[in-house]
Amino acid sequence: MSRRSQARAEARRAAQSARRQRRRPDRMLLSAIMLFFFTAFLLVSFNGELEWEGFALAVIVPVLIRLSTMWLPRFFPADKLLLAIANFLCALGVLILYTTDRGAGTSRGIQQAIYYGAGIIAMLACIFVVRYVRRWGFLIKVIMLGAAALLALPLAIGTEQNGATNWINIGGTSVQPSELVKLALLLILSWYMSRRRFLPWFAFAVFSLLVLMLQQDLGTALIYYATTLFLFYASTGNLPLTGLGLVGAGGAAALGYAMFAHVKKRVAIWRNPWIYYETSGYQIVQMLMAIASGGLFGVGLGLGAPRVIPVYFTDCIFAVICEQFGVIFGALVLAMYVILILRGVSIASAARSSFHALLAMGATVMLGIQTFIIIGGVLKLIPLTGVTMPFVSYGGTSLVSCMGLIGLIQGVASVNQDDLAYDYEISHTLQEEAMMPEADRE
Amino acid sequence: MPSEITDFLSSITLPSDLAVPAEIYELIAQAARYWFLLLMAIIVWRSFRWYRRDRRQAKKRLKLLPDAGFVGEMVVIEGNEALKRGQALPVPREGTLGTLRTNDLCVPVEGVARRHLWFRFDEGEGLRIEPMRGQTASVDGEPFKSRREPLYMAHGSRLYVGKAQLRLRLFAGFEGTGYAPRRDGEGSGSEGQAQPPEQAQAAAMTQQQAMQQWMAQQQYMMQQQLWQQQAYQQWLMQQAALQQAAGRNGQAEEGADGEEAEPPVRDDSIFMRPAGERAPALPQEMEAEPDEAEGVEPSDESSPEGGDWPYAPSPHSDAEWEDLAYFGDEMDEDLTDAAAPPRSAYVGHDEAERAKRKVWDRYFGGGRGR
Repeated sequence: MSRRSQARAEARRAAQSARRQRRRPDRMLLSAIMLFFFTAFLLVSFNGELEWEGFALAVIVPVLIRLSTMWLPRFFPADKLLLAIANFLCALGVLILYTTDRGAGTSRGIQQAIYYGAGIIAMLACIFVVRYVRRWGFLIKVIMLGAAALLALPLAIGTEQNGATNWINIGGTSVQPSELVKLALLLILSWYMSRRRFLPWFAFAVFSLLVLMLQQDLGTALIYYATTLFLFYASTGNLPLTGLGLVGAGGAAALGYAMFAHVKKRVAIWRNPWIYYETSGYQIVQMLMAIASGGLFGVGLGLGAPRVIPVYFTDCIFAVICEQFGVIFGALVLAMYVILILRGVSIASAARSSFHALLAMGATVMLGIQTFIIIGGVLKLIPLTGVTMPFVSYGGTSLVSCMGLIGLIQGVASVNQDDLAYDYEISHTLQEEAMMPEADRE
Repeated sequence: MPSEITDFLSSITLPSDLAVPAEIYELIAQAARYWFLLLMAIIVWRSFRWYRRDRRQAKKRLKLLPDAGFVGEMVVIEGNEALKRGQALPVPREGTLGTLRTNDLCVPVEGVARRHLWFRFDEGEGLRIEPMRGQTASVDGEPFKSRREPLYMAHGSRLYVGKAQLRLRLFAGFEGTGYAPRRDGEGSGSEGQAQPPEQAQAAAMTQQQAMQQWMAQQQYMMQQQLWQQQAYQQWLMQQAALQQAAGRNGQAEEGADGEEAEPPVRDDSIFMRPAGERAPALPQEMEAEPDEAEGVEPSDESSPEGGDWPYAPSPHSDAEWEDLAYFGDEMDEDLTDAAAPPRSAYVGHDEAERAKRKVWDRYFGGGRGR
């Protein structure tokens, strides 16, 4: 072969390799996400008065997404798809909050971007804990005591917000302990269920539910209860007891409906909000009107009247997304949540130990239930309860907790990758040994 | 703290004459709706494709590494029609045993409950067995007493559950757990007596020998596969050459009227081993027919040239097998012999440690190769 043809063949190979590199799914997905946020923040920057934060976010957010998705897995084997989806949803929250800030004199978007950075640190901490802690027995007991104390703290020094006494002030910052205890709950449930010890996890779950009921934090209590029940079924496969748990939940709901006036009111609003349009039904009516005014394609980013909806930045943020980007976009956001949940389930099913499997499954189920409760409430599928939309809603504790949940799933994913690499290594060692001449084998 | 940062950031302003009029912004934002929708559709589609691709790869991986995630297998010594003697049930790291199909080990035998017991592999200890409430089980004749005194199964241990008897064979890590204590009379030929030191040494030797034979057999099979692959590639090349030749002949036929072209001939001889060339050489101890050394008649089946090769010759004599009482016609000895290395993926302790170290080096070294 002549030198010229050799060079041509090499160039062709290099081009093929570069093309393959460009076609890698992570690169293509990340490019689309980065382009989305770059153009979106750039567009919003030109809405009204020019503010340099918009231009800064147009650069910082895509770079942060890129770094956290591509660079972090260089230090430990993490699941890039899960990272990409979580990052996309977090950045979508920052975008929506920044857009609604314009002209309102608030700075929730920038604050959310800072919380997003804190969430990434929380995620890293969770990954390291799941990946490197080998002796959980003592640690779980410490976590259990700490979580119980933290959860009960608002009863003593808590402040009331939106009817629930579930906030505490630490150094001028409001923190919602029940969000942070979610991580502890999952670790405790997974550990004791995998060790087949009934009493510790059951006692902790009952205690948590009682405290949440006392704090009147019904939405979080629902998430705790549903996750515990699901994990119980996943670990034991005991259908009669799980069914009993479901019946018990139904009974408690019926009892709550009969006993508490505000529960009755909420159900009545859910059934027909238009009767209470000017009073308690105002929020849900505004949400429905926002979704309807957005139509299929939305009114356009930065347009519309999202601030008319009460608490548009937390509970009702999905209605704002639908108003600005349209119902089709909203459905695609839901699809992202579905892919995230599917991914979590496959990570859980690939885990080699029941502790890891339950941990990943629990975190996934918790995120799924929370998403269903809030989006179902916004779409008037179920009565509206005050929980946040994972990753998107405004709130530092909520975002840190959700990223922590992703960290738990990522930790299990990285342990799975280690196990898999170990299997490959063993199979290669076997093949090499078998192919080796007898004399060299020793 | 975040509010102080944001206050400081908001104090910085840009010149107001660069601002876009509201009408123009509205137009751009309305046009951009479709752009964002397109990008979002691409994001969801790419995510879904990525997810699906990984699922497919995971399935392929499972096919490539069928033993991945399993610590060993339970071989049925006593079962029934549904669970035949000799059948091997893969044992995951943790799981349950019972008659239900949802159990990790499904043992539909009389006396076994729907969910009978729970097990977990503890490195260095063995397979921990814990019956569910109200159920019983025993390992090597020792019954389960309480959760404070767990039962552990070692390599070769027997589990008695209901009317079933299962024997554990670990794929890896049994150096840590050790072997099951031999039952009275096993290998010694006389019941109720302890093995004299000479016999114990001889038993250890047979284990080592079996291991060597198994390694040699693996090497032989690998070489056979390589040779077949080479032959297949050669055949493919020949097929391509034949097709080309046929094409040329066809053209020549069109050119020369009436002149008959020679039909292409396929040479199948490449599948035959060339005259004078033997199968890859076996190690000396295999060639010397170790059965003979053990005082057993050499059999054709153990020869690489004749009969089925996949099993190494047994380290035990026929008389010993009779004594061991788990050798039947319908069952291959290799399945139940705890002394022989496992079929699929035996890994020695050192190899396992080496593999672990490699993995750790890889990820602590900055995730190279990922």
